[in-house]
Amino acid sequence: MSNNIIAAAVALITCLSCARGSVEVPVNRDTPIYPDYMGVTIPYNIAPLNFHYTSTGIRKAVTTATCNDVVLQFKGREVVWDLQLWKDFIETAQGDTLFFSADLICKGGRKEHLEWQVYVSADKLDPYISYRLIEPGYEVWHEVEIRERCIENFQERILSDWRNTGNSCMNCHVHSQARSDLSIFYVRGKNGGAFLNRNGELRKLSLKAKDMISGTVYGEIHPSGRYGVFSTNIIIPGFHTQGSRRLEVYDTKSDLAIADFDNNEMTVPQALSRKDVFETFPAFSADGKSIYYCAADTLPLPGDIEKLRYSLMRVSFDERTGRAGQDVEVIWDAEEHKASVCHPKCSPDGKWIMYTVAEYGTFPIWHTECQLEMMNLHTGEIVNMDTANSDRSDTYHSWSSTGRWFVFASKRGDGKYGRPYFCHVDECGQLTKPFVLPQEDPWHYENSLRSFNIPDLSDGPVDFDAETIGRMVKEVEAEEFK
Amino acid sequence: MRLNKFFNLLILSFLFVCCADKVPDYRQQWQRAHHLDEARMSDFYGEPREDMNAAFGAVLEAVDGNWDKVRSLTEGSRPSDIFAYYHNLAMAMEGHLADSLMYYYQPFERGLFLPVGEKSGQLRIAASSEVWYRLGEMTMAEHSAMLAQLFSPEHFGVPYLKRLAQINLVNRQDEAALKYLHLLSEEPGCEKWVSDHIPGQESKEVKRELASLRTLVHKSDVVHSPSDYRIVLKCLLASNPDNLLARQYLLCLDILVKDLESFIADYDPSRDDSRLYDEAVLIFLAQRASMTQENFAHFGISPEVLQEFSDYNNMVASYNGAMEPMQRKYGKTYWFFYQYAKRNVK
Repeated sequence: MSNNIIAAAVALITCLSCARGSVEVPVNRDTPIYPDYMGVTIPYNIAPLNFHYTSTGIRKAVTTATCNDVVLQFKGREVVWDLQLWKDFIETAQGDTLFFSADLICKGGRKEHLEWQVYVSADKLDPYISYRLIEPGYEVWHEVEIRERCIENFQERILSDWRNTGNSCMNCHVHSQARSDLSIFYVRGKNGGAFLNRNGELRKLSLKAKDMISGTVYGEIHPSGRYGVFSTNIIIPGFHTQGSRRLEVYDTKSDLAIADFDNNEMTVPQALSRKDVFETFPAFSADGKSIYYCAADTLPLPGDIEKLRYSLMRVSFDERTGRAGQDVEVIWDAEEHKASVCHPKCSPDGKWIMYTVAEYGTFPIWHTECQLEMMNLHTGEIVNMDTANSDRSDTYHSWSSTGRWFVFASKRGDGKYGRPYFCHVDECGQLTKPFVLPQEDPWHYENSLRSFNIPDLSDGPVDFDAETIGRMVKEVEAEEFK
Repeated sequence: MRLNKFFNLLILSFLFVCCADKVPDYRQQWQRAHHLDEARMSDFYGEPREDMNAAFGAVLEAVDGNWDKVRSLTEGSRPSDIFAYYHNLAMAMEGHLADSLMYYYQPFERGLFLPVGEKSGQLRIAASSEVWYRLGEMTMAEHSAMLAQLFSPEHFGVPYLKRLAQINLVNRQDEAALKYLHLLSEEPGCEKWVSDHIPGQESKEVKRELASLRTLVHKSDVVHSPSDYRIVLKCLLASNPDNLLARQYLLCLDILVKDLESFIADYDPSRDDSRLYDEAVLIFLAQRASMTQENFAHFGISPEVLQEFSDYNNMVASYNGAMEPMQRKYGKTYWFFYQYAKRNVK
């Protein structure tokens, strides 16, 4: 009898402990492979395109990759390349095509055959990208990191993090024209500041002067490195009651200001700080002779948020005096387009300006309708970017140093988590299907609960790390600006 | 063979009886659901304590909609925002929020909604999504669930993944829901929950719950701050006047923050029935010198309640407003709360 009791107890325990079965959840169902590398154009210096098949119930998978005379075969649901094998494989493929085919046998004997190509551009992509890794938690931060990744392999390092900065918030690390020797980012809070990386020197700055409504927020460094143009904003987050629209962030005040990094001076140009206008998202032209920015008439907010539309403006900038001109010019009229523009960025070759267009407002990351748009600065012609855009928000782009590539954050797929996508632009403005930053683990994006925020390209690694930033936060006083 | 079955049943019955009256070890469940080892668990949440075990239990049981268990875990009027919050929600899920409100510790609006921020504490943030989800307010529910995940020790927690999956299913954002279900499919004990929630293959019960929640969600859009509770509740009721939970929360919010003007504007004596509401109406009428038979009839105030209100006021006068005797006799009335409950201002 005692044996029976023990057997029953063991059976019960076994039953309970075996409760963990396997449930295969179909993710990224709209594409046979994930990341979706079918038909994309990649640079010849990109890291291996590791991926997995998205069908459920796969019993057997054989993948063949062919380039010129080289044929390689992979077995299994995941295709993971050896780094050197990949490098050898695409070395000879510049301007050529990689051919892939796959035969899958799924549960119940169902067979699938797939074929696709990957085009290898001879235009090199800048080898580094930085981004902020953050949970899309709307408006509260915790344990934020800015990282730098080499896109030619899978090496990643931390540029600044919460461990070294007392859990401070950090914002956008942006390079000027993808230069690794010219970049800026902020560590917020007590002992924070703007960290300017310029010509091998790292400075901690307090970019605030008495005429400004806040410290600096969005901005860019002049190609000469001497100046910066920034917005100063009072930023308010507001929640939409409709679940799919989530968060709206708006300004109740905003102006532009120019920083002279040589003389530690801030100026607030009259024409760019009107009380009846919200001015924000400034950027220099490639030659540094103009400032582009977004502007909208002030409105009662949040009540009139859906009427808030920003136009794209241009004003001259004199590098000798560090002064902006008085005459502002409308480049893209919000009323005419019945939409709102933000995040303008000029390509370093001076040919294009790219920006984000949404139905309204100044914070498009949760606007599913928001799209990237590009204008030819020589002709004023607007380029159709349907090839790059998706049905989710596509925002926060950054140009490569050559102007032949750009990276942007897209919420395509699950709609929640921003991922860095790269897109090629030829000299006529023709775009190719974008591809997501390759990861060593082909399930990386499915398993990650963080967004890649403000991806920004760089021609090399920057000359600082998290320990340096942490030390400066603790030990260095921010340089005052007057 | 038959003997084996008998003994198996016997063992099951024995285990059932042994476990029936014992509060489960929710701390251990919490630890597993957050991928924590014992040291990290103790470091973050402290050593095992009965009240913390009950709080963990309330969060875990509420996510699965086990309101009987939530009520039992929170009973006894514990002076804590989290316990008041869950007790109120459990009572409201059965339509009894107003009748039970004055029988429990009430930290003003924080007994209904838990504000979240970087200094709120992870457990409070973990709890804050529940009421929004049950009300049909998916933006705030998602915000809270995301923050709960963000502030948890390993930026991971099964209850938040479940909630995020549910919210996206309600919003018909299946790709996002599938991401969370994919992550949950790796978690021990979640297989059935996951397979019951896969879009297109939902169990009958899940289908019913999703359909019910979809009737509650907002049909119009307003931009609001996180603490605009009243705006959100009004908006939910404008979208669905039959949202009983939102109705109870709106009236009880007015009452707890002592905004009687708003209460009278929101109150409909023909559909909202509770002694609590009558008590609030009488304070409002007395303050405006409107204690008329016509008003009593309009608000349906019974002669008994009217008499008690008169007795209350007489007693306050006779004791010169001293709190203790009033609390002994009228501590469970809104009159007492209105007159004596003070906010802790730090």
